[in-house]
Amino acid sequence: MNAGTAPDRGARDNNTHPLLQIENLRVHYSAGRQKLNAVRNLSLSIDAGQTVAIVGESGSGKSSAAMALVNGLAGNGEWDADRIVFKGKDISRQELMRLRGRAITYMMQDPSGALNPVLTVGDQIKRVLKYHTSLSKAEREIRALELMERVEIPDAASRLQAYPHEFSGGMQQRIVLAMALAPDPVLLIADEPTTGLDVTVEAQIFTLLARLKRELNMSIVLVAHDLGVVATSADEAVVLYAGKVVELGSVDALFRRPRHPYTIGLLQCAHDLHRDNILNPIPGRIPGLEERPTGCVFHPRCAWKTEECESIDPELAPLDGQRVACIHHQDVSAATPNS
Amino acid sequence: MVDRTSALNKIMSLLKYIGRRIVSAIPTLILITFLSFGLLYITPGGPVEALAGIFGTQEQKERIRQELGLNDPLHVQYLRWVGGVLSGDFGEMIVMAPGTPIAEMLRKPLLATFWLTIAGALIALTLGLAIGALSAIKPNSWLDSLSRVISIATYSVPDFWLAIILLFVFGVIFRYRWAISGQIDFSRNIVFSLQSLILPAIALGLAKAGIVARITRGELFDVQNKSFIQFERIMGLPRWVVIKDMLHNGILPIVTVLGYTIGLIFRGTFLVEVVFGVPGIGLFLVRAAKTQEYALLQTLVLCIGSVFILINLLTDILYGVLDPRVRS
Repeated sequence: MNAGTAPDRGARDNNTHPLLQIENLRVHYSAGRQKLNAVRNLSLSIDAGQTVAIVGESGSGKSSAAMALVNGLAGNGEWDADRIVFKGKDISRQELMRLRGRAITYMMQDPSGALNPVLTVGDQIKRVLKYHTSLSKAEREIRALELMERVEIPDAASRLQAYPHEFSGGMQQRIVLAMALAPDPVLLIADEPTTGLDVTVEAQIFTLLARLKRELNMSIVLVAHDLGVVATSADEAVVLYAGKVVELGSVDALFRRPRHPYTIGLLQCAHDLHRDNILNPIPGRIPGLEERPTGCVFHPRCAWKTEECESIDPELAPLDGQRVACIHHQDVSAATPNS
Repeated sequence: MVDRTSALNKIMSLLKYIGRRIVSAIPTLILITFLSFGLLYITPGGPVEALAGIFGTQEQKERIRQELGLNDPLHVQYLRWVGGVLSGDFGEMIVMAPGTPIAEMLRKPLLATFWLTIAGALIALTLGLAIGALSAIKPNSWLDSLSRVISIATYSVPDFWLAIILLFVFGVIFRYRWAISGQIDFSRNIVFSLQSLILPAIALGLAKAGIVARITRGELFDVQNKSFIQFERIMGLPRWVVIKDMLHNGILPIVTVLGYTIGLIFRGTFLVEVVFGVPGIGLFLVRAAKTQEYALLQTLVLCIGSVFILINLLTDILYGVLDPRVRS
């Protein structure tokens, strides 16, 4: 599609390797002398053209994980991983960082604040093109227009000269998307891309994302708290609770047969909402960074809790293609019917 | 091609905005003419008493009233005065230097005050922006703490007090000749004028540098955490581009304070001029009030009011240039 990132394109057809693999991603924030772990040992594997969702409540560490991948953590945040593999090749953190803005781009959470208010949206898109592609000035002009049309902004040619405040929230998020697509990335990280938008606009954005993903054969890491969104747009999901992966697997499997009490609880909330019943929330709340319990992080809220749960921090164990971190997963599975 | 039309669009919207700002300044200006004109009638004494003296007879006073046109209806007098002002005729001196046109009388003091305001503003801005930016780079460092202490100290101290201290230190203790020279007239003696400018400008600038520094620090600190700055970083834009955007956005709230600060410095010159004996507007204002030189007083009030309107207008225009949200 554009010559600027051509070298990155070739491997896209090569399906033998996942596009990006991260092993044991850890994120911590330092507060004074303390080191607070926001994400512990998150492993991700993203195939080309696949959407992987990171699911969790606010405070679960899902945004920290996404931000770490593009080195966008706040000043007191740091991250590390045992291994980073991009297209079958081991790379360092520095090499991963050099991919950001080119092969890996990011879609911000809050569309109204993600655009620079003093520059026209056209200038902002063209700037990304200027620094990340080898297009000439005239080509950038054409490409910016193409991108605006690609994200379905009506009257794109004249809107290029408009400022962010002259757009609605949904349109602003489309422009953020246009900027993220400008360098022709192979992986887009979308961090709750519809926060603060109407439900109808939300649906439009996800439809657009799904179409663009297909057209551009791009992979997406979708950070979400809404299981409905995950069910319709993701292939795989990682369920994060208090910085720890409690369950992961294909979205089909997870929704059909959740294995972890937390996932079950999350799904019950969602089901209840859809059935217009009284909400059936998980009791308690997610522990803050300083108050993470010993043993299994979920045990204070868990209905299946036994004494062992307070001391044993369960590993992710494979189970019929899913993986679940719960020492009682067999009992839990047995007691929970398929839905 | 597209670039040119977008530049043209920008200039057109900017011109429209400037036009709107100028039009909206007019009512305020008219109000100020009312106030300065009315000054003549609401203060005790008046030009007649001033001219005739305490021993003047009724006939003498009546003659003076006739001569000055004070028996005409009020609106006629007002329109005559405004007409004069518009054609550059502000009236004549009556007491201090009888017969001298006020415009001529005020030319030099206005210039002196102008240079003093500019110099004070330059010091306040450079010091304030530099200190503020330095503490924003490393928040909560010793540099930040030091700048906080200095800032709070300077903005809690009145400028005329600083002026007195400076005068005492440099004039009385060190006995520098230039500390009390006072004359600021660049058409006559540039070096001498610059020397006379130094201390009053420092007194004015230092007193306002603190507030500029605190606001600069706050804004530059906040802007680093704005989503769009984070987005630009994540998108891998070059560091200098991100810094440029941070400055551009961080400067916006500072611009608002700038206009206000320059206004304060302008007002501050009046007292500081008196301390250093600089023959600027401040010194004139005091003398005009003492000697009941009414036409001069009217003109000064008009001038000072207009300067404030002008400063606000320029601030608004600068804001419009920098921020498209204000233009539309």
